[in-house]
Amino acid sequence: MKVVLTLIKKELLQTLRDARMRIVILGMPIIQIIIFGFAISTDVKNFPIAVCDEDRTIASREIISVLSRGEYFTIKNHLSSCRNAEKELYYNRAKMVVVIPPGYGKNLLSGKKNSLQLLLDGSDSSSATIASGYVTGMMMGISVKQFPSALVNLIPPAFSGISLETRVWYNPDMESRNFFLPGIVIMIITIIITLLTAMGITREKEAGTIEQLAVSPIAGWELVLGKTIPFLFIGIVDLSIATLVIYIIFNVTMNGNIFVYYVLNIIYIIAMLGIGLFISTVSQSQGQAMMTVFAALFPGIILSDFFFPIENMPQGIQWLTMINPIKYAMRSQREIFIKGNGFEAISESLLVLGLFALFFYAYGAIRFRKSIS
Amino acid sequence: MLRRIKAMAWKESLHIFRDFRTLYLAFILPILMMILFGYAINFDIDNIPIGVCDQDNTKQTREFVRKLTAADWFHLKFTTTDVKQVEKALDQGEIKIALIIPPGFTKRIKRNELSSLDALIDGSNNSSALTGFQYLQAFIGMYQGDLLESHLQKYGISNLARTEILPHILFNPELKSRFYTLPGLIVIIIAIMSALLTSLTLAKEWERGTMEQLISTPVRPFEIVIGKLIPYISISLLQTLMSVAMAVYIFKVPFVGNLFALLFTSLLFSIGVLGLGMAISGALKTQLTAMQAALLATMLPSLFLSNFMFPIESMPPLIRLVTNIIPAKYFLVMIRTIFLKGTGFESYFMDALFLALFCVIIIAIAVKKTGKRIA
Repeated sequence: MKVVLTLIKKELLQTLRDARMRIVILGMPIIQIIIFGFAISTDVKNFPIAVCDEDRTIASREIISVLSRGEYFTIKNHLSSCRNAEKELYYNRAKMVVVIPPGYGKNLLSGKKNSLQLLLDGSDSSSATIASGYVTGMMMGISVKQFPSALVNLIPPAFSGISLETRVWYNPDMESRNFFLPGIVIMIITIIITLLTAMGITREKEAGTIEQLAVSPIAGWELVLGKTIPFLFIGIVDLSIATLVIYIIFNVTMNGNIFVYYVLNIIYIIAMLGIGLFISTVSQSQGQAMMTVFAALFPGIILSDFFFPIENMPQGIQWLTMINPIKYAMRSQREIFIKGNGFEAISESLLVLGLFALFFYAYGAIRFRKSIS
Repeated sequence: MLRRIKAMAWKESLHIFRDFRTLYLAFILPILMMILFGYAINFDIDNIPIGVCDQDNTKQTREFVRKLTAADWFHLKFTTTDVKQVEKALDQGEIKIALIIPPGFTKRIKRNELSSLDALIDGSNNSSALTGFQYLQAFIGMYQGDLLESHLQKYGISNLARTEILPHILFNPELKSRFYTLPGLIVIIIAIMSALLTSLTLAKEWERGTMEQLISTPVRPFEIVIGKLIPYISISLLQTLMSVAMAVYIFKVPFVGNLFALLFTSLLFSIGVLGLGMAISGALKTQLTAMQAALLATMLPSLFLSNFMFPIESMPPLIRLVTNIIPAKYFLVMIRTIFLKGTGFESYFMDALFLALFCVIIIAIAVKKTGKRIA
């Protein structure tokens, strides 16, 4: 046991002695969370548009003023002729052109069918869909206001309609940030821990220092523990920093039990340590280790439910995600962080993650002992 | 000078070929990423699981639910009269939205009194929740329109003027998300792979002590950087061509632009991100830190700060400023334009200019970091 402690101390000293390493391990998570916390937003704001008003009546000007109000759209250009409307999209000057056809105001007054044309840039279709949705919503508001007064008098009892009362559970403001930030914690841990373990051990192999350790009286299991426990420490430190930054800067609180939160993340870190250890045993150079880590992590992150919902994937791929540890961590993290649920909600994921941790760690350790002896 | 650059390029190529697995992964990974994205990722959200608690349970409410779930928007998991059951299903994640129709709903509509519907939404799954909420609103809007029309007809008003919105979508009329995510993904692939590959190269020389030997030869820092870049530029161009070919031939993304324009812009972009990896490598001097930094500097920024996932215009001003130093942002505009719009150089001239500027600055930094004499 004393040997393990000495090894841990040596490894921690060696890793943290390097100032650049300290920045990568401790500074990067902070910078990342700050930048991405501010950047992440699926709302469309300041969407660049151009308007082409061929009607030039009070009604059409009303539409333009409603579009420019608020923060949804920024009107980049007022076109005098609609012949060149498409050019705005071709030359990336705007992402949407609103075309108000001649006769719009007249039709409105006489109660005739009216239309408004939107030219949308399909090369960025997610924001195109959202933007056209905004216009439809705005037009509903305008239509009611512009409803010919002559007709209004004819409606004896006013129409009451249906009101939709919405209550959003867990994330009442429906802020994308609250949803994504807990996932970013998982991402940061995943990348830092796996790379650190895989490349750190491979580096010793390259430098030949691992052989010196192998011929010393240190037992194989002591070496494995001594090499990996320091990275577990680093993982826990990163986890704590990330959680604090989220709270301090974005005021997003961890709603669940802090103990459950740490248990989940520590088990996950051990699983990632195991994967890193395993990769180090199959790599000859740091370059190889890095590429292998990347080959393993990238599909894992894509299929983790982080930004692409798994429910939308084809059935075969959904089955494939059953063997993805990152998915279990991501889901449980959200259960605890956002929903504030306890052990019972994540017990299944915890079991699967525990098995992953056990399997990869044990297998990695066995291979590691073999590879040095 | 040319002779020395050529020698450096040759030496680096030998290094690359010697580590065969790294090279082989450098080509397998883009294929894997394209396939995963092409098949697995679908930005169009439909079949959102919904549970209905119909406490009114009349002919009209049943018709309402049938209409709501007839389209592909929602997938009706169950109907019940027990509020507890929908709340439980929502909590367990079985459904994302619970719709509660209170007793007397139909009666109130018939009497023309304001009637209400309750929707419970699972906010812990952001994208489905938001989309589901929008669908629900749109559906109720349409349903109200129908109710209003029949209400007015009772008073003899039939020609109600509604403004119709006619969206006309250019470049990708069916709004297939694949058509814009796959060209975008090529940007991400090249950004990550290139920076990772070069992040090791200078650091490796420092770690092994061969940098000192290089410095003692007549080869100048500028020549070291350029010579080392050349073989990686060819790898990265090959990766680009391979990914473009996959997007076009396997996933049928239309390519209406000019292949030379694509090659030229990818050349600029490759130099930029390869240079970035090189600068990081020279500055950090160990492979482990260089590669961590390269991954952090390319993967998340290229995904999040480039317009690929989240629109830049919506970000706060300071972050918008930061996006200006993300090369992926410029290449993304260019590659989407070349793929789907096919317009000429003038439509992305500014982006190309900024990217070129980035290349010059980043190479200068890499050279400066290489030039530092042995401590």
